[in-house]
Amino acid sequence: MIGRPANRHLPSGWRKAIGVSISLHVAVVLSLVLTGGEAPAKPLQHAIIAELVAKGEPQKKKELPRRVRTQRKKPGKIKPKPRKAVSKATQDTAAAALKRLDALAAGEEANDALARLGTQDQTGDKPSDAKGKAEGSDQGTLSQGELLSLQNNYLSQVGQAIKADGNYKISDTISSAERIRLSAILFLRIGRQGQLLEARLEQGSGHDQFDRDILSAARSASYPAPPKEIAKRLSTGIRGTFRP
Amino acid sequence: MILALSLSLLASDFEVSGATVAAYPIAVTEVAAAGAMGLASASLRQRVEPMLGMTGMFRLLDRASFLAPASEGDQTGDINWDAWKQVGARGLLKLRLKAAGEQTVVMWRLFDAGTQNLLTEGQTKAPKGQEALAAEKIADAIILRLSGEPGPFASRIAFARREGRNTSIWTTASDGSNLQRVTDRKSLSILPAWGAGGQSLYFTHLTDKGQHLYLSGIAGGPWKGIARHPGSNAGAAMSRSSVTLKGTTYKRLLALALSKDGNTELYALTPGGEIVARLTDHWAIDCSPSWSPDGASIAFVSNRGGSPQIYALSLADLSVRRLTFKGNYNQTPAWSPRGDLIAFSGRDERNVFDLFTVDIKTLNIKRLTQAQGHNQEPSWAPNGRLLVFSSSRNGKGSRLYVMREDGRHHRLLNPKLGAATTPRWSGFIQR
Repeated sequence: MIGRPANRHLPSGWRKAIGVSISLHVAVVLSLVLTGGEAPAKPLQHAIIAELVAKGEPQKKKELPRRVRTQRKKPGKIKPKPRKAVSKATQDTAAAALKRLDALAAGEEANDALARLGTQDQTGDKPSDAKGKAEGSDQGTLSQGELLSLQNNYLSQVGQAIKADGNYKISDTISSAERIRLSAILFLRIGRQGQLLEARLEQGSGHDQFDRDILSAARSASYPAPPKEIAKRLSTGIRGTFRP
Repeated sequence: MILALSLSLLASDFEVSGATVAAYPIAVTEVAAAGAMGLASASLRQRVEPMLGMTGMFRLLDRASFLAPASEGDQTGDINWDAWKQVGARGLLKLRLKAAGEQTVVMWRLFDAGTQNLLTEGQTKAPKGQEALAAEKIADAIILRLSGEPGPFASRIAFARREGRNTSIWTTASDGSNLQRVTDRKSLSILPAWGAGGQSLYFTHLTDKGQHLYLSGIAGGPWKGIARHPGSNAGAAMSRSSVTLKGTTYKRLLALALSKDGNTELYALTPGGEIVARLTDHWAIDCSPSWSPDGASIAFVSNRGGSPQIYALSLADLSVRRLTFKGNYNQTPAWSPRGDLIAFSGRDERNVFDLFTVDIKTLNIKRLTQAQGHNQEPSWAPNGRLLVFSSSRNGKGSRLYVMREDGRHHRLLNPKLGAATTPRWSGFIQR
């Protein structure tokens, strides 16, 4: 009696159920083999379009990111020398100028300022010529932003040239207490070859020796030649604020 | 259009800062003269040069490097500017002497060698043979022109000088020359303090009977007893301006530490010694007064906080404010003529005394000396640009040194002064 298979004692109902299950599985396998395993996809009746919708208050325009403009390069024309990072002051100045640019574009101040610009032009051009040349040959085909950037970079180089090789020295006769408050503005005119045409005190600091020191530094510096796109404009003069 | 406008606006604004601060290179030379006048010219130059040098503002150019001929004149057209520029001169000081009877006319002209402009010129008279006395006036004129501030040389320095077993009071010119005795050799006199106008000196005389305050003329002579109260009468300081105390305005007041009531306290006295008011009232010791330039406050030392520290007393309400919190032994305060700083000597963690300043407003402490022996007893030049102090740095006892207010450019005042302590720089003295 020992070693008889257990299923010999299964009830007949169970044996039927197992048989039906096996036959159903066989049928499913056969049907998959015969149909290749994939049912054809139903074509979409409508395309699904998703859209991001901002909730709440619409964002202010000035807070939106600005469009990045790629630089157009003129091969062989501009070869800027490697330079140090533009100072915070210069960046601020540039930002201020851009803001002012926007303001002027919208306001009446533009006409007055333009008239002033015409009278300031010491290159011999008439005011009307100056108007015409704002986008004209002297500035090439560079965009406004590019010219502004070019000018910023050049002004930064002028500042660096004055300080180069320890050239910007002030006298120890000026006390440390005085040095904190001193500030003066120099007017400089730099020629197309980088030669200094004129350097004069436009607004003194109130301390004669400091004024002499900054004039001496400005006169003994070696300036880079301005990029030709802005050379004419710069020939009318630039102003630098000097602090110890 | 707008672009051009923006360029115009931007072009008027770039900044240059971060200058290198450098001593002003100056060449000092005399117009050649023959005989005694030539010697006098050289002697004058030899005093002017170190005077300018001790301020730390100037770099004196070596005469051996000069390219211009000695015969060069002092008129703009006479000067070989390229020769001076080549040797690096920024300033060119020309001295010229001219006999005028029993006196000598001393003339000076300062040029900017770069621009060839005359910056300042002047003349004074000096007794024949004493032309070097004009150096103080010349140095101050140069400093005034180039710094915009008065020079320190219209003043003198008083100090106590050890002579054997005694100590006496002396004065010297601000450059360490022209020594003058005030008290006699056999006295034991310490702690000099300038009287108003710089023509008299207060000092404490030590005897068996006590420490009494006396007044003497700067040329010596008889003393006048000012404060002879029981105990200590020490550390006098004369105000540099008028003082209002308890509703009364005094032209000058003397601050003095007296121990007549058992404990050392600060008192205000008239220049003649009459007590006007007791200024402090505390169980601790209060001493070493130093007036603020406006006469509204007095810096002093007190151990009321457990260790000697610097305090400021307001004369308006006699309130006291503690100024130093670092270190455990701060003493000898000296209020700067500009009013913003108090110099003092403090014992540091190595048990060495060094000089510091404390900013009155911020209470920031700045170290002025380090690793050069003991440095003590600071006193300000009347223009606030220099400090005189005693130092043991040369290993031969206490000597007087001068340095800039920022702690740079130390100079031994005069090696011939010997063992000197408690220097006190006078205010400006009328010449």
